[in-house]
Amino acid sequence: MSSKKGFLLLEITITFMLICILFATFYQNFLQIFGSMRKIYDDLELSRVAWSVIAIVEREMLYDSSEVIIQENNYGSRMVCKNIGPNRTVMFYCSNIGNKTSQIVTYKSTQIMGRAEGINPISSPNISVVKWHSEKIDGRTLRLEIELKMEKTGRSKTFIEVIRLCNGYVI
Amino acid sequence: MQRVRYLIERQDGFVVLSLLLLLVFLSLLAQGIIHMAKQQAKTQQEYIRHRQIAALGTGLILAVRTQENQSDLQNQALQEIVFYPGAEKIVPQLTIERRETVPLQSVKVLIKYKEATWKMQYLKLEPPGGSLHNIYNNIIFSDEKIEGKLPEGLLPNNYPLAVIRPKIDISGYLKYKSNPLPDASALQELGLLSRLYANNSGGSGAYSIKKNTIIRGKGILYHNNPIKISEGCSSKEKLWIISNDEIIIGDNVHLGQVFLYANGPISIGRNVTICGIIIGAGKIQVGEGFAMRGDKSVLETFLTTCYMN
Repeated sequence: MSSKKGFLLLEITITFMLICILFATFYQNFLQIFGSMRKIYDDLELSRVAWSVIAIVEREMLYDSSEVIIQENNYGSRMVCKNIGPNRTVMFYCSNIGNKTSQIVTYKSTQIMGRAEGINPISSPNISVVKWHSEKIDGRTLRLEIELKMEKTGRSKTFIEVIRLCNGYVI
Repeated sequence: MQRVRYLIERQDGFVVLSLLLLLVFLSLLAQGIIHMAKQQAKTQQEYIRHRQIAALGTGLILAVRTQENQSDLQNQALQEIVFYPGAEKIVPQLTIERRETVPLQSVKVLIKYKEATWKMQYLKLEPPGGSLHNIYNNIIFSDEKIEGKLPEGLLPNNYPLAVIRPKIDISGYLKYKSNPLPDASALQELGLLSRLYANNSGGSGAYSIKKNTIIRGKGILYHNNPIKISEGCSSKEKLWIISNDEIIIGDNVHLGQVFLYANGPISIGRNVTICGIIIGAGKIQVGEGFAMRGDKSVLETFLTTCYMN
């Protein structure tokens, strides 16, 4: 029995050694797998943020806007959505965080007559908005192009969306 | 298991076991990645589908709205559409309802997807009896009498120009209402959204718009009970105020483009300015300094905005 006492430790050591040998042999492939996983994760994160931003913009425009005015500022387009309810105006635009850093995020500004303006970021602070451009296609339709970049990894992706207004016009 | 026990007893099975463990670990990792990718694809498909349905509904409702000959429109199941990814078949349904007693036309696009039905709709309304009803030859009309000093020329010499007042279809307004009557905060925050506003039939008491409210936007306000526009209120855009009871207008109210229709009396305060049409079943009482100009454009068909239920 005494000769069998070191068996488990020896087995674990040899297993670990085998894993090391396997990793050393195929490390490039492993690194590729982990790299791809990172890219997939970044893409998913970018997509999630883009969907969220587009959904917010679209919800405002689709049925609730009587007029969408496209303007340009230093960071791309600024979309002014005049609500069907004449007391409310919503703007979507990009600007840097707190006017200090170079990182740019998308903001939604809501103005209700007789009240202070409410400004909230609608994109994640971990993701920078590289491009925020919209253009009129026809009287009721506009095209929105967004390019988002992960701050940590530099991975970027472009999203294009066409939005059609049901109760309003693009100016 | 016997083989494993045999290998362990022989003390040379550790290599096989280690490899098995490694294999299990790698297969779990692969399964995890596949599961994550599948879930993501499913979420993405749902997101795309919802956007496709919204875009389809919007396109259809706009197409119906711009159709020149509206009387040709009928209930119909439209052509089957296959949505990708997923190759899901969807049959949009167009529902047209006409109610001559209001009168109105309701246009709905119904898209059934899984368990839910998406509804996009709008209404076309006319004043009670239709805008061509001869009661609207009068600028101001009462079944009983009009008290107070009216501006000159408001009542023609041969008043009344018509005497049979159309009835209000109460259940029609309640059935097709798109929003409840707006409270003070809704009026402040949004204004009127070019829709038909009415409270449920169970609602009791007068509907009152508080003092000095600036009513912005177009809309139709219907109430079974009295409607009160408090003093100092004003509006510039097209506004229909229809009550199955009385309408009370406070002092210093200015209504720029209004159609007032009451199944009871109408009481108008001092220094009120109204541009539009006033029809009442009961007595109409006007206060000092009342100014009114007839404007039959308020009777034109009221087209609500499209909205999603």
